[in-house]
Amino acid sequence: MIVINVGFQLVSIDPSEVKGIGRDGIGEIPVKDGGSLADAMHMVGLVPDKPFMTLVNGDPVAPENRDDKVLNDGDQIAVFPPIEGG
Amino acid sequence: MGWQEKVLRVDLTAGKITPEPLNMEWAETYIGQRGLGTKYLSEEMDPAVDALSPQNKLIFATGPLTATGASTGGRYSVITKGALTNAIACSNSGGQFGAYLKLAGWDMLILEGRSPEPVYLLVENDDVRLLPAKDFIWGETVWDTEDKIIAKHQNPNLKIASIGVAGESLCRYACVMNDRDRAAGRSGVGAVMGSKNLKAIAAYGSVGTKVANPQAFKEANAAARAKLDPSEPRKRLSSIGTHAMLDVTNSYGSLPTLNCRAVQFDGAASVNVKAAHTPRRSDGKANLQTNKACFACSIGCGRIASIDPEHFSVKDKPRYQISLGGLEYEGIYAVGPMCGVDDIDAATYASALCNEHGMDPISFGASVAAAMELYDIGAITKEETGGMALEFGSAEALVWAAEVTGTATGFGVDIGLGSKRLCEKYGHPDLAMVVKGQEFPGYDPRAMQGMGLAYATSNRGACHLRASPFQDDFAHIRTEGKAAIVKKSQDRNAAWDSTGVCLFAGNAWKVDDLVAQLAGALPGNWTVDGFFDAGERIWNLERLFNLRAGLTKADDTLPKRVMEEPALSGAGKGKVAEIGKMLPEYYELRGWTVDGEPSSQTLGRLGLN
Repeated sequence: MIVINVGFQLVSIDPSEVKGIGRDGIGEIPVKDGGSLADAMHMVGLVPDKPFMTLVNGDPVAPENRDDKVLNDGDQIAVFPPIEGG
Repeated sequence: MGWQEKVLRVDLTAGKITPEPLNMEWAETYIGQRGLGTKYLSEEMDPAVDALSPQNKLIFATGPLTATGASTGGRYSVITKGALTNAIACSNSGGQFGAYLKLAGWDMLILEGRSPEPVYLLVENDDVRLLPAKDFIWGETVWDTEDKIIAKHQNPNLKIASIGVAGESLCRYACVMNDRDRAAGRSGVGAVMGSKNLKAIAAYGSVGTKVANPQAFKEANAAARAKLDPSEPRKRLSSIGTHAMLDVTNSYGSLPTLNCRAVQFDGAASVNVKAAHTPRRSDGKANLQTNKACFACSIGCGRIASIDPEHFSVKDKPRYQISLGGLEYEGIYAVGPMCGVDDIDAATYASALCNEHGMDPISFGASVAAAMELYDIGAITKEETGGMALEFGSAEALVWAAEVTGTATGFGVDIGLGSKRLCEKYGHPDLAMVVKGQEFPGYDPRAMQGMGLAYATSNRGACHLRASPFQDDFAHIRTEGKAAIVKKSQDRNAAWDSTGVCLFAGNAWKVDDLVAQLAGALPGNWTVDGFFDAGERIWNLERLFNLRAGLTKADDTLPKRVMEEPALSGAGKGKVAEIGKMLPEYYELRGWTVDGEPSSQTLGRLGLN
């Protein structure tokens, strides 16, 4: 199976709750070629249909589009929680 | 039954205090707090009066769930015509004060006129007195005012709402502070209090509260707590607070930076939540000491911090080398990235001075940022500042600005005008990042189009709490669909802010969970649909107040910068705020005319004719 590597950054999420990501919340994970953003989230233990916000290479990807968002080698994913400010 | 059914009317001009029954018909229609206070204000006052004149009224209103034991039910609001905005002002606060006012037997205080001499109001159950503040607490900080009142009356259980020197000197964004570091923060409600020569309200209550259906209320409250307490949003707000938003907006490219010249801040890592948790070299302590909760709250989003004792801002000031109110997102955005300052201790000190002197840190920070840009382009010089180089990124300038503004000294009086009046005075009105005269919170509307519409249409000026477009904004940079999201969440939040419960509980609850508690506390038939109807009624009532005050469709807009200068980076790179694409749909959804006025059908439907 061909595997690609994508960067993964957790923003304001405790890294201890996530698999395969460093304590600083930044890491690189392998994903099968043709894999989606949802696949990558599954790999680290994040449930894609939970209301996380996601960016790929700085562009937002809505929850309903995560299954269809195909990743490329070197893509940078950022995930952050649904905080409402105050 | 949720209510004490008593209002305390205080004629400050005559020194007369009159109890009166709460208008229960209005309470059924406008819920309480924000909605009911606005109804009283609209009925009793001409919205066209000068906000700082004796003709303006100042209302402290609790909600039907305040102090009932409802989860997070300790809120109160200050409702008046805003000194910053000349529009309806409704500033919501937590802490203990609102609950103790209700426990003293009062649902609402209506303050009228202007006292000939500075006074404070002491409320101990039915024993209510106006007492002289001159040669006692007038001229004192918020912190010293609280300490002195408690010492004088020998009652450590008094909970106090007060103004600092900023409010006394009519700083346009002065707050009403309570419990040292909680604030009815926005729109200049503290300046209105200052204009009335009212320094403080001290409340102690032991009357208790009752609910209409104790069993139903108990069950609804227990169910709500069972949802809130283990929820991820509660845990996150408790452990990392709202401060965590800074990494989110910085990553996304919606962090207002350098007076909105930029949308991402190079120095974010020095002022983010991780920086606040990292022990420093001098004493091994972290900026963040612990968290703090308000009355009946299990979230505890409040921050308690300490400033590095070796930092230049506090080195010779033991007064500030203690645990004090810490950094929350809206404050750190404003005194940090908006001013280009990456010094967490300077930011914490500036934030503490906002608490001590009673200033809204959002408007203060954004006003300093506007002043820094005016300095940058040469419109302000050292001649005006008295020698201070008011440069973007200067921690020294930020610290100085907090000191001179909080004490209304020298150029601090100009900073206290707020961005709009400051930029007009120095000939560059377009540099004020405001809506209806009120400064932006920490969300740049170029990457967050829904928030742009929320700012533009907010009845109290730019505000992040009047609507909740966050989730859609962080998923879609588009204008489609935003009008409906903004309208619905405005109605929801208007009703929610009228209950006495914290908006943050809504991160774990649905509206049903709150309505079930209302239904247990109050007589009558409370439904989710009725809740949204009440919210829409309140929103339209606020709009009518503003129209009568002289505001128009032209005030539903954003600063030229965010509508014409594209974002330089982030997810919204190249985008501008496209308010013109969203506003007509928003008006239509609201049932307003193309001029932004509620139609006669809408008024009739909402019972506002």
